[in-house]
This record gives sequence, C-alpha cells and structure tokens, in this order.
Amino acid sequence: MNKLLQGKCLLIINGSSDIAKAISLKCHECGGDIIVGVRRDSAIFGSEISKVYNILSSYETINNFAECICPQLDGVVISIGNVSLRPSANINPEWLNIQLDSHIKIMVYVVSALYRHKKLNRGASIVFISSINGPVVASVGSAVYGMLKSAVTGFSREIAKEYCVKSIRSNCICAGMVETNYIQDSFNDHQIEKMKKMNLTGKLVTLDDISNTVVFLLSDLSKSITGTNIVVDGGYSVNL
Amino acid sequence: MDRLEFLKNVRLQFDYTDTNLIQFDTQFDTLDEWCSLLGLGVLAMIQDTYGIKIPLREIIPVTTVEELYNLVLLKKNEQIASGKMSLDY
Repeated sequence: MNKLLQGKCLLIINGSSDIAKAISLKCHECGGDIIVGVRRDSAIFGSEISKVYNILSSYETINNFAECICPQLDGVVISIGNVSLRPSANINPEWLNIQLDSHIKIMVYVVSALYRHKKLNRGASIVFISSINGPVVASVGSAVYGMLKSAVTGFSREIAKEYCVKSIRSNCICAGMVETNYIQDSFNDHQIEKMKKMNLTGKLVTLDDISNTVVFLLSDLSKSITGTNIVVDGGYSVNL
Repeated sequence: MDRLEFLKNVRLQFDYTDTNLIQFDTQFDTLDEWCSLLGLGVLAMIQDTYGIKIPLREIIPVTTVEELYNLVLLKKNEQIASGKMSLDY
C-alpha cells in the first residue's frame, strides 16, 4: 500500500477539511508528492505536507495557480463543500449563491483550469468526493445539498468522457456519514450509536475508509475504472 | 432582540398548529407538527432574521422556545461583542 502512489504528483483541493486533510496525509504515506489547495491560510498540516497554496477564493486565483504555479499532475482530488441543511421553503438567493460557490464553482473552475493549461498528465486520475445524499438517497432538509452532490457525480461522469482522449480517468466517491471531528463534537454517544446501527457494517465510515478508496482510484490498480461512482457508506443506502 | 417578535417568527414556521399552543414555555416535541424538517426551518429563520448560525451540538439540548430565544440572544451578544455583524452562513 505504501508505494501505490510512488512517483505521482497529486493536487488535493480544499485540503483543510477533515476528509481532505486525511486524504492528503494518506496519499503522502503512499508515496505521493502532494500539493494542497485551500481557501484559507489557517490550514495546518504539520511537516508532512509543505506545499499548501491559498488559491480557492476566486476564478482568477484558481486560473493563475493552474497557469503559473501548478506542476504537471498525475492526480487530482476535489473534496469541497460543507453540509448545509435547509428546507426548500427557506431558500434565499444569498444562501443559495454561497452553496453554489463553495460546492460547484470551485470544482468546475479548478478542473477546467487544469485541463485548459495542460497540467493533467496523460493517464491522470481525478477523484471527486460527493455524498450518498442526492445521487443515492434523500434526507431531511437536503434538497439543495442533494442537488449539489448530484451535480458533482454528473460532472465527474461527463469529464470522464471528455478527457478520455488523454486517457484521463474521473470517478466519484459517494460517502455516507463519515466519523469526523464535526460528528464527534455535534452528537452525543447515544446518537452516534443510533447512527452506527443504521449501517449494515454496524460502524460509521472512517476517514481511512474514504482515503483508502481515494488511493485506490488514484493508483494504477483502478486503471479500468472511470466514469463511475463508488459508494462508501457502510451499507446505509442498502439498509433503508 | 425583541422577545415577542422572536415568538412570532417561530410561530410563522408552523403550517397548521394553533399559535396559542406555541408559547415560550412550550416544549417543541409536544407539538404534533414538530419534526426535524420544521426544526431546520426554525434554524434557517434564525440565520436569516438574526444573522446567527447555531452549531448542531448547541441546539440539541434546547427544548423550549424560551431556551431557544436565550441561546440566540447569547449568540447575538457574542457577535456584537466580537464586532462581527455579517450573516454567518
């Protein structure tokens, strides 16, 4: 496992979230040369990941990074957008624009800029982190969140077709509830036990589960997998 | 932050519950209409009207309108003290 990404230069986008940070560290452990793109300078990685760029604030900063700073890449991971639940009756333009910016526009700007400036090597792999909410299941208050996560899977599939001329693959991970610091801080032990019972595995999905799947999709082990979604949810969606 | 205005704004989130049943000491889960979707609607109202986003861990222990009002008031005062007045989505 620890040599699976040897020699690969990888860009992880919005590396400051729990999931993206875990992905960055796992890819580094597996031998990848990691560059992280974040939205804020406050992202902390320690000594393992030194190439951290604050580039996600606008189309211009993303385009400039892709054109002038970004090296040639063998893989990209897009892990952006926080969960934001809101009943459809309470949607307003300001809130919706923030969701579109943070979930969709950054993803589209990054991928299109990298391709436009020819920074994706032949045979590169793109991995999008989406959710089961939207593409697979529905839940309370997530009409917009589900819509945005469905847009991620749709974009990934279209990119797989568009970029196949350069043997570039694109896949999506549809994640269930992942055991992050946010979950530990937000719910008590009883609530977390209830959540575990909703999964066939009896456990919450861990950061390792997601990052191991990312490593697989970035590696040559998955060279025949493109244009698809991999559900990593502990069997939650099957158990409904 | 006007107390009665807050109660009125909470009542507006309900479709069919008699407004007289929704008072400051009303326990939310005693109301037939109360559900997680309605709870999210109340939180959205608080964000939009009062500019306050309440973390999930802080809303879970809240059971009455009075407790919710006091929490929002506390957050509002913290926001004023920190000088940050913009909507916190």
